[in-house]
Amino acid sequence: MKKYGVIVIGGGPAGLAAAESAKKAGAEVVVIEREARLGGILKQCVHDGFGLIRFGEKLAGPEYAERYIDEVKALGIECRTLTFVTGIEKTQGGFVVHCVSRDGVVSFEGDSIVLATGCRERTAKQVLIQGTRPAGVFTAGTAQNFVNLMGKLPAKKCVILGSGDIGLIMARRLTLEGAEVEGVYEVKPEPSGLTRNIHQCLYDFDIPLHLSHTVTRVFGTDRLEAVEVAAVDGGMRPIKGTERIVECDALILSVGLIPENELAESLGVKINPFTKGPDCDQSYATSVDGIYSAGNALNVFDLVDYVSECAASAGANAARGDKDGKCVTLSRGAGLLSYVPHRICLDKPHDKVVVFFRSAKDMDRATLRITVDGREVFKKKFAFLRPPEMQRLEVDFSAFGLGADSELGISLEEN
Amino acid sequence: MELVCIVCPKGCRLKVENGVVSGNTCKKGEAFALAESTRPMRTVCTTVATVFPSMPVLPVRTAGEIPKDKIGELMKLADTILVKEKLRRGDTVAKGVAGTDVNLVATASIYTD
Repeated sequence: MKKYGVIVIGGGPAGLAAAESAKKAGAEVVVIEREARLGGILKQCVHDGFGLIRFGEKLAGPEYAERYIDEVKALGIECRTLTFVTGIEKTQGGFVVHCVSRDGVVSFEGDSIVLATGCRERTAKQVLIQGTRPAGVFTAGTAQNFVNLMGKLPAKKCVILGSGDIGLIMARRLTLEGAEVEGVYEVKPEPSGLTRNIHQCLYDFDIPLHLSHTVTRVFGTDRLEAVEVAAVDGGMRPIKGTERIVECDALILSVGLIPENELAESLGVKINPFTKGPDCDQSYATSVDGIYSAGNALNVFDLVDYVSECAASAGANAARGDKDGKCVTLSRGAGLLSYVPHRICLDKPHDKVVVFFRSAKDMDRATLRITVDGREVFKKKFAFLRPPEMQRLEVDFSAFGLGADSELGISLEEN
Repeated sequence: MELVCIVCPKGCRLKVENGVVSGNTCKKGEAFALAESTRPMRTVCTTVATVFPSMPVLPVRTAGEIPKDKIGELMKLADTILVKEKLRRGDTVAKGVAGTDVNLVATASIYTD
């Protein structure tokens, strides 16, 4: 069996960037993709705004993906499409990835693996909507697939539950294509998408946003006929007497994304309870030697530019294959929703560590602090922070005099 | 006038008073706020039909910004387009759309197996 240096699982933006950098670092690379085309979810993200950081241009999703696909092809990287991973086996010297493809059952042997499996949308089953089970209840990504890849309009009049970015983007997209979006309902008192999307997707088209509201029931036998919406209290419980029936033929859900880590879990990779992706160090190495995690499988990002950055780093590190060494845990203090990395490996370079984080709540004027044994070693001020808007900063952890028994902490304080 | 900048994901909160912009952190934000208070402009992204079964619709966008009030006109035009050639990313799909000198360009290459 041919042996690869790096096997990349997933041919979306993370997998492509990881493959490119692993190849450039000298590794023999194969990309395994289950769909017929590379590009992942970007294929259906026809809106623009991608690449502002990476390319300094406002690109549509497919444009951004194709730039990476072109590069991967120019580097002669082997890409196996229509190939689905069924399992990963740990061997003495590395891993064997078992797949099914058009050629039947195939296996790939490699030293390291980059898991770039992306994320999944939370479904109607996970938000406990009561009522019948008619057709017409979609996730925003499914609606996006119908409209932008198949060219089909899945709704005449719809209600959107959740104010995640894909839901907001789809509110605009469906409106442009001639469907009526009755409103976007968000159970929380604040929107969960980027502020710019609230403005350019909803306000530009006079689509109402109902905060502290949710969908409480669905009606219809074969096809959705109506939904019941209601205001909620501080504990997110529907308030009696505020129910209203909205006739519609589609309910579109934009209620969150969850990193996809079935393969990671099968290998015993430790999952972080806050990002819901693997625990990782600054090289994106997981708790299992030789397994790296990149992109939305690691941590749901809002910008593909950061997905590419993180994945390129993961790919290069996977090619180098440094073994795990002495690590210091970066402990979660107050004020933070989630962050990566979760530990700093002292045997790997740690002078230019990229830290991504989200605040736990809206904050006007906040200070991020990093402490070693209770002593402040780093601080940075922010004018305003919102949980949907992930922040990125570079930290020189090599300047903090860290030892294996140092207590390293990160926290956020409003001031 | 108070508004949120949509130029980049930062989403700066802008204020325009007598043609003077505040709250912006870059030049693009200032230009956006001034345009927004006179004639708002938008880049429009959509899809157009193709004859290729492997890719029934082709994603497209305006190569530059068009006035916001022309979006409807652009969408009507997009509805009438049928792509028959194997266009590549960046190729022009329609010239000078919605009474502007802005072209509509492909944002993906037609994929056939």
